[in-house]
Amino acid sequence: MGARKRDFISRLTRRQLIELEACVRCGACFEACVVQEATGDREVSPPAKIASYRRFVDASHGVRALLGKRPSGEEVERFLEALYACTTCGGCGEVCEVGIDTQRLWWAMRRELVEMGYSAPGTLPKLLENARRNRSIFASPLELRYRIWLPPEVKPAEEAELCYFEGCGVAWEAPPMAEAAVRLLHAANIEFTLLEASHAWCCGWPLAVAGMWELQQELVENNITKLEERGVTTLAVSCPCCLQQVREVWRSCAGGLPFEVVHITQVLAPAVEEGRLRFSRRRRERVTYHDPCQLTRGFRGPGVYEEPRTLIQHLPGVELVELDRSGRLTRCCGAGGGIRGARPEVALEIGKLFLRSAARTGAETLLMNCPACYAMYVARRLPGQHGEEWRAFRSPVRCNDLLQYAASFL
Amino acid sequence: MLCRVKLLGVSEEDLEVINSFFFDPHERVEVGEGWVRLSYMGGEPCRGKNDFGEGCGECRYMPQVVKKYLRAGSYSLE
Repeated sequence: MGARKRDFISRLTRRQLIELEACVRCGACFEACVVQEATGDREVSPPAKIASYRRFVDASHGVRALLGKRPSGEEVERFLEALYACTTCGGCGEVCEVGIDTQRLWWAMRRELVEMGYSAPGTLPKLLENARRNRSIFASPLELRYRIWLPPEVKPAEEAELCYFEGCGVAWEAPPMAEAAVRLLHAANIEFTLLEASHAWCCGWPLAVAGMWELQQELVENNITKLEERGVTTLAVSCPCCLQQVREVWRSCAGGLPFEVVHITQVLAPAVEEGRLRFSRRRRERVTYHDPCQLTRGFRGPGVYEEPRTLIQHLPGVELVELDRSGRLTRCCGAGGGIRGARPEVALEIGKLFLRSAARTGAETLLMNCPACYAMYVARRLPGQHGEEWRAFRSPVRCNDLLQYAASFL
Repeated sequence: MLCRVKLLGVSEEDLEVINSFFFDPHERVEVGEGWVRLSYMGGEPCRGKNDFGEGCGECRYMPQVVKKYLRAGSYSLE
């Protein structure tokens, strides 16, 4: 692999280069990191990753570079293992004593290394192959998506100010999430439209988080253009990662957004509070709710905490108890950031810890709100032999999607 | 809930849609003469009543394309 002049630094901002120097290895992040909790492996801890990367930068651009001590390919490959043994949940950055925005730092490192010619590990390159062919991270043709989940009694409008975008993760990995979302919109008498199936391309998040950015601009431009053509003023998404991607990457790639983007619960919660959406069934049940990482600390500004809880509090007979970690300090469930594809054995251990923490609340049901969570906890999907162990793991807590659960009260 | 349902009379068009969301090795579609057997989602095998206490016809875990066969009674649990 031939060296480039700006190797290791071209995708890092000035702030991120300073962040590499700023880590004081205080260890505050160890408590927040579910990978640390699950593996105890300090080599994959945030301070160790920052220190390794700083060594690469110093050896390529500092005084050491003059001595010809450039990092070897083997060293970088070892580092890649640690870098991808991470859900990029951002929990470490939330508690960082010196304010390092670790989530975006991991993404920048991954992007840099992929652009230097290193490969994202595990099954992740397959996502890009699929996206090159289908404009979705799945191998299935986009045209089929609504035929999977759209109920016949729900008729989306040809044009409406509100567009519902389920995202490819929901369409193929968690279709009941989308069905429940449109059932609730229908019950609340909220008019909405859908993009034409073949026009709704991947938001780009799974590719970006894996460091594979080659299609980003194209995906963003297509989606924004198609939404503009439909006269959409508000885009409602089910997937927290789509929300983060639209708010951050689409906005920065396009230099602004011609519509507002919200999470679907931000459309439904006001409808419940105003009495436009009513739940008629009653069921005595104790539930707990998992704040998805990207819905809380995934973007700058306030996260989406209140609206999901508003929905739960309006379900007749249901009592909400909180997990030991919630809101911005939510515990990552281990399903996201590409870790299921890159390091399924780590995702498995995080999953066991997560279900044990949910059981400690005394809740009968754990409500989730993200297609990655759904795939891992409701559908129990995890690659290879780890999947067998995961499906055999028993918990007293049932897992469900929040809106699927809410729709059962209609 | 691991569903092992045998759908009857599935159209070619619907089979294409069903095949599109089966990508995890532990989930699979078997196709026979006049039937399609699905093994879908993980966990314990479903005995015909899901976590919501619903029977197959109303099962919330099943995508619409499958549910329409369940609602029409065009299935068996054997």
